[in-house]
Amino acid sequence: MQSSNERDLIKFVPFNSCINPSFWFELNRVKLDDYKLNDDFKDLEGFCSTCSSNNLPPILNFDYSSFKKNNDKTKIGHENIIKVEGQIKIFNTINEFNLLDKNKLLDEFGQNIWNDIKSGRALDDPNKLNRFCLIVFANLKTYVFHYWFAFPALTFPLKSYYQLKLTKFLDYFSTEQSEQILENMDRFQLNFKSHQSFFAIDFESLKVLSVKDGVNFHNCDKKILFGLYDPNSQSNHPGWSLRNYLALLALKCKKTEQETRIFDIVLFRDRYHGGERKSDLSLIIQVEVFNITDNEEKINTIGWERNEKSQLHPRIVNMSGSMNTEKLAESAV
Amino acid sequence: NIADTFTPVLKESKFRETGFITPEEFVTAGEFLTGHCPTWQWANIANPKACKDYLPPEKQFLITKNVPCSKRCRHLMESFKNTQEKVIEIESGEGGWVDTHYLDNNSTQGANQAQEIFDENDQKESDDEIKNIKDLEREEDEEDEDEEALDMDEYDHNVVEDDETTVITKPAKQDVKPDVQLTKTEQEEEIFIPTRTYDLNITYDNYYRTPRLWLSGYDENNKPLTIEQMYDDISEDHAKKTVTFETHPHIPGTLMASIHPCRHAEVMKKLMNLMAESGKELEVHSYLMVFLKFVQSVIPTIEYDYTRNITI
Repeated sequence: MQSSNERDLIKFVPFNSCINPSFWFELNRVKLDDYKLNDDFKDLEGFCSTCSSNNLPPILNFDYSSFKKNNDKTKIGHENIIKVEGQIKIFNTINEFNLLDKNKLLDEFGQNIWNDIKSGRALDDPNKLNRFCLIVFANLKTYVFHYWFAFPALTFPLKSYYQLKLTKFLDYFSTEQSEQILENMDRFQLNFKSHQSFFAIDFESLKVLSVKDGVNFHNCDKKILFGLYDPNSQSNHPGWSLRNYLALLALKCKKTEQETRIFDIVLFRDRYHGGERKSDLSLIIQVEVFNITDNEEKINTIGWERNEKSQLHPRIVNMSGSMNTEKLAESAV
Repeated sequence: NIADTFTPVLKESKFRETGFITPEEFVTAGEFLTGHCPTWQWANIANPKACKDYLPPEKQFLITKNVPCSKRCRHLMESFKNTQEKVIEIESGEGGWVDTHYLDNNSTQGANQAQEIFDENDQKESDDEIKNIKDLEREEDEEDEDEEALDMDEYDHNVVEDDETTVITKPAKQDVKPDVQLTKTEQEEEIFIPTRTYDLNITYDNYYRTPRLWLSGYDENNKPLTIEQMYDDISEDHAKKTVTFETHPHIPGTLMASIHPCRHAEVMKKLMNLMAESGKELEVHSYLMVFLKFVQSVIPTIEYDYTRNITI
């Protein structure tokens, strides 16, 4: 790998999973009533807030509503969340859980994302770039759950991304411009059923566009900033979602004679504090991206979540304290 | 909850006289809150059967997630002792109260007033409703000890990772004080200091005819907090008095901490009287803002959002 002193390798902050106790209750119910012994992958939904909080890493939330498919309803509640679609597999024995080839599984998820990027599906629905995989072994008698999340991200080991410059959103744009962008952003989001994580900004008009339009305009030599809702709040690193997005841009944007290209990426961090909207955490990151092609030789997928000891191991949670039916009955008096 | 089910729904607005609000007013106030503080949202319904028919199905309760809580209440007390401590003795007796002015100069007055009212009430309040919590806690503790033994996952999963481009958060130490000195490299890297977070819910309580706040907390590793651990984030004067653990009306399955609503209407009424004295009138849409402000005296370190431009 080429190394240079002037260029910094971009480091990404991975998602942290956060599971509300009601998720485990619902999982128990679903496993007993619906899935039973079937341990195929099922659809599951996680969500992260579009309003980033100061000093928190990107958090992907799961709760009772993660199992439910909300396609029967029109836009209800929760408008300010980014839905992330993924899959869950609930094993019947701890042995199967342990013996599963985790690298192979993650590669399959990565391959699906790569296929979506190549086919253009991800360009039509860029939210597909954020994805997760969850494997669980649930001991339904003791309320002990073994689980492991993965947030699959494509890497091209021979072709990394470098960070050239990092500018604050409010330094890059004037106050009027940034207000204009916020307004256009809200208008843009209204066109979609679910919140769009990825978008593009036309530098001339400050209009907010879909990624697909952004790529088309970019390929016609218009100045376009590509952007994403960055659930991370750290001032010197982008969040995990940028990884697959860069892969999409590197493949779909027009190439030049050079080996690399430069993109300006908006890390959009919408924040509300004291009833006021703030853009002080938003950043513009200038990224140097290697050209990639449809038939890359070496693609890896990474993304297993580390446990509380920072090891690449599953997590274990004991919910008997709050899920024990005897206790629930006791408190219901 | 039987009492809740059989209590007739309040139809006529009387919030200025009584502090009670109708379900309709709850929705109005909820709309105002989500409009001004979009971190608050109407929640997805967990169980359609649990829907209250006096509220629109898509507006049953409010939710905000991942609210940071970087300090414990005792840290707050310590830092006050070290700096400009402001413990004020209440004439009537036992507990003093602490000015929570570190949060925001404008917002504290109301919170203090509310706290004062709470203190008065607490002394009158009987402990009956919550007397079995202690037993519950004790069992909880016993179970927690077993957890350590479970936590040995010897199986080698052989997962290969490329960590060159991944920011790895260091494991959180238990009970880290927020003012720990960072080493130089840590400062440069600006690594997160993992913090506790809370999910907060506001439901409408038909029996008490007020909003009701529910909390579920997570430790620095996003693991659910036990009841005992959550007491760290409830001001000493209110822990085990105003906070109870019950099943949530909409979210099945687990016990959740809740600020008991039995005094809410009374406190709200007093706050409205105070506002009236200074020539202001509480509009019903701001009800939840004021409610959240007074609730802050119970959970002073949970940094949830509400509009600060309401003065009492």
